[in-house]
This record gives sequence, structure tokens and C-alpha cells, in this order.
Amino acid sequence: MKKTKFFLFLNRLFYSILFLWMALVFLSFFNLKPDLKINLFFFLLIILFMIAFYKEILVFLILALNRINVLFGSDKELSEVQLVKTLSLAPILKMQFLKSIKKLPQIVIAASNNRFFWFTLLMIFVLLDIFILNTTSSLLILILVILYAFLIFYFKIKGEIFIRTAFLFLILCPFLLSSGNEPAAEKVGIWAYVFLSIGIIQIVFKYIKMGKRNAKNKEK
Amino acid sequence: MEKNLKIDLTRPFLSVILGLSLYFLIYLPIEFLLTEVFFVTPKINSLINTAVLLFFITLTNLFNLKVNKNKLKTIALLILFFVSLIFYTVYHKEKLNREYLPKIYRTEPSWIIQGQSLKISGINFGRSFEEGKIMVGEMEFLVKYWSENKIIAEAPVPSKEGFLNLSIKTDYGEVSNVVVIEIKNPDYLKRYLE
Repeated sequence: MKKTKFFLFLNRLFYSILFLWMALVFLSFFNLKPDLKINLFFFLLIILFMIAFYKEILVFLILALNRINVLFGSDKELSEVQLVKTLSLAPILKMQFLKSIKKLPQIVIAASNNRFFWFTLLMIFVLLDIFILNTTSSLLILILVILYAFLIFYFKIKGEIFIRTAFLFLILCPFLLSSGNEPAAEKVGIWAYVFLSIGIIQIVFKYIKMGKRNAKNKEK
Repeated sequence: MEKNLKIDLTRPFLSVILGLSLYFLIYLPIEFLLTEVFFVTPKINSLINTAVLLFFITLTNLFNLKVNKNKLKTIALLILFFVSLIFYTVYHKEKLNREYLPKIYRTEPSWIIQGQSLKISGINFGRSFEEGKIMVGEMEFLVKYWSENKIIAEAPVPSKEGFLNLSIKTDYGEVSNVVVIEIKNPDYLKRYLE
């Protein structure tokens, strides 16, 4: 009972900090931000999320690993009954993890042929550049753009995906600015421009190809 | 069991409203008095402000804030929040106006005689190449060292004696708060010699 009350309190605190963070971002839009460390709320939110929803996180990890194991034929699909007891979650997670480790070479081969995997991997590098690296490196941007170009040619990724990502980054920009993270906002702006350029170049090429095809069809 | 774990989102929302109202109406005026009126301390670190706000939010989460049937409590809370927001906007404007003014926190020693150096500690005095003036009564002290938060000045010879008001005028013409210092007659030192 005490444990339930404690988790309920943590849950309330989590939602309170989420509302508070939103309220402070709202105030900063009107240049009324109090002298507070808003980034700290964000980290606290993540920590509280991990404590308050630890069971849900464990279940998610187990199901994700189980899905991989089912795909590679090393396990059966888990039933809901097995995921109810909190105490049994850790051993199940360990078991699923060990099973997926055994199939690691196969998983790596399958992932290397998956365009979503490569796109996500490069996106992680972009996010690391935005949030972890302190300096803006033109060389790093160039290398990542070249890798994206290879990805586009090899896996035929559509330009619309890059434009959508660019729009997401543009939406993120004012939030980062208002939370006081100006260097990250600047980098997000740079990457939004890069992705927009990549997307538009792809679409222009697509239209040129379509135009040529239409011309050939008319000739026929 | 499942029903117990369901969260009523109005409760954390009302806790935030009450917590922010308490922060705006209790903590910020105290902070303003300490930093801008009584000059007890320079600007309070934003980490401390964040910790205080988190304390208020945790505290308000312990209260049983639920929406009543007649919704009176909620309306009262919303009115309180609205009032605190108005108060905060006024405070914010006043704080910004005062934040960059020069402020004197301490002078050392507590009394001086003519020709003696005086150390003034404070904030926003201006950079070393933007020397201002140190006014004591109608006299102007001779500046020996000038920095953003420390000034060393020398009392002119001859000096007026008694309890006098000391203030700083920066290079941009901004005047600091007034601090009383005592300038004693050099004859006062004779008793130590005897």
C-alpha cells in the first residue's frame, strides 16, 4: 500500500514537472521566463519517468527483444500473463537479452540491409552532433551529408522523408531557443537547412526524370 | 489495484498552479528584497531558484488538490494564479530595470581618515576602462583601482568629517545605492599614539 502511494506520488510529480516545464516554455515566449534552469526540469523529467514507469520500460524492452527473437526463430511470442508480475520481469529481460545476443551476427546482417536502420543510425549521429558536441564542425556535416548521399543512392530513400525531418527540426528550433539552449538551436537550424536542401535536390531530380519520361511517352 | 494507479491529471495541474503562485508571491518578493532593496546578497543563483520552485511543487503535490463539485477551490486557485502572474510581470519589469544598476554591498574599513584607502565591494561598477566617480557628500574620492565588483578609493586631503553618504556614479551616469561611512578627524589617532 505504501509502495503504491509512493509511486502515485512520483506519477503526480512527473506530470507536475511536465506541466511546469510547459508553463515555463509558455512564459519564455512572452519574454517572462523566471531565472531558472529549465534544462534541469528536463533531466528530472527523464529520471522521474524512469522511476515512475520502470515496469512499463522493462515490459517494452522485453517485448522489443522478444519480437527480434521471434523474427529470428529463437523464441516463442511471450504471453501477457508472464509480464504481469514485476519481480519476474528482470529474469525474463535477461533471458531475452541472452537469446538475442546469440543471434547477434544474424541481426547485424539483417540490419545492414535495412534502410530504416541506416537512416536511424545517421540520425543518431546528427542528434549527437546537435546535443553533445560543443563545436560546429563543417567537416562532420560534410561527412554526414556524403553518407546520406550514399544512403539515398543505395537504398533509394525518398526526398519527402528528408523534408519532413527538416520540418520537425524547424519546429524544434523555437523550443530550444526558449529553453536557453542556443547552440543546439543553431545546429538544429543548420541541419534543417541541410535536410531541406537534400530533399529539394532529390525532388528536382525526380521531376526532371518524370519530365523526360513524359516526353518519351509523348514521342511514342 | 489498477483503478488506484490511474492518475487524475487535474491534481498535478492544480499543484503546478499553486506551486507557481507560491513561488511568485512568496519567494520572488523575498528574493527581490534581499538582492535589490536591502542589498544583502548579489543575484541569487538560478540553481537555488530552481530548487525552491521544485520544493514548492513537491509540497503542493502532497496536498489533496481535487476539483470540487462546485469547483470553488479550482476557481479560487485560478484567480490566485492570475493575480500572481500579474504580480510577476510587474516584478519582472522592475527586476530588469534594477538588475544592471551599480550596487554597493560592503565598504571596508568601517571608518577612515583623510588620505586613507577605502575598499568598496559590490556589483555592476563597470569595467576598468570605464571608471566612474565616487561621491562622498560633496567630495569626490580619488580612484586607485576600478573593476566590475571592487573599487579601491582614497579619501581626499583635507576631507570633511562625520557620517557621510557614499554613492557611485558609473561612466554611463547610473547612480548606486547610498552607504553611510564615517570619516574621522586625524586627531582621533592621537589617543593610540599616547
